[in-house]
Amino acid sequence: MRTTTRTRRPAAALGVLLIGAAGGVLAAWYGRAGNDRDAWPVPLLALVAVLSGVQGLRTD
Amino acid sequence: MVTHVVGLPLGALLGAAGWHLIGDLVGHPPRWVVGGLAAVLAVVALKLLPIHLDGSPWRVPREWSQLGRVTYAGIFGAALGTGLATALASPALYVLFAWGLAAPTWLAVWPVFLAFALGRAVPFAAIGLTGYLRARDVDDVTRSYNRIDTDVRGSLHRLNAALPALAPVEAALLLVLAVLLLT
Repeated sequence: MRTTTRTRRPAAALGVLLIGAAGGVLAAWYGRAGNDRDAWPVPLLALVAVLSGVQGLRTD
Repeated sequence: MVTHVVGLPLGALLGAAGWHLIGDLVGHPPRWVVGGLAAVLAVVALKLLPIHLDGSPWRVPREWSQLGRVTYAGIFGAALGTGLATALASPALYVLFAWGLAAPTWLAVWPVFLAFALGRAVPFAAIGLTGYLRARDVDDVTRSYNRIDTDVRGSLHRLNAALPALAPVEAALLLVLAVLLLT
């Protein structure tokens, strides 16, 4: 039980850190993008790209 | 593993530059083309259409391993990073290629391709590093290597089993993207 707690705490902290970092990057991106229509889909495309990359592990 | 992981983003950025350059030379297709493609590929990702996309038949030749393990791993990583010289990661990759052609500014292209490389490199590096750290305590070198191998294979096997669950998520994101680009 103690081992599980030890493992979960850093994982949860890392999760929060990653979500926070992603939120920060998004805010910075859209803050900079303004009304630029070409910049608006980029974060969504990046998310699709991450998913595609992860699925590529199947072929590694 | 390090050269492989470094090669991935380099290959991805090289591929991004290639698509963007082609777009600059022959003209950037309009956004609705990417949106239309995203809608079609969402259906393909859900396997609602009997279309099987396998990507390029070209693979990094195994003979290139004569260049040395480190060099080969780097070349292999860069080839995977382009998304071209390997089996297709997922149908959404074609949307990324189309975006590379269509986006008129470089700033809108490279983050997308870098994200693809990170999606590919980070889980791979995490699994490899975890296997290495777990085996570090084993005194015997042979046992240590065997343990890394077993750990990594086990983790990859579990991840592979979970990957099909990502296809509907990818399809949903592609549909949202299609709406965004078609409106």
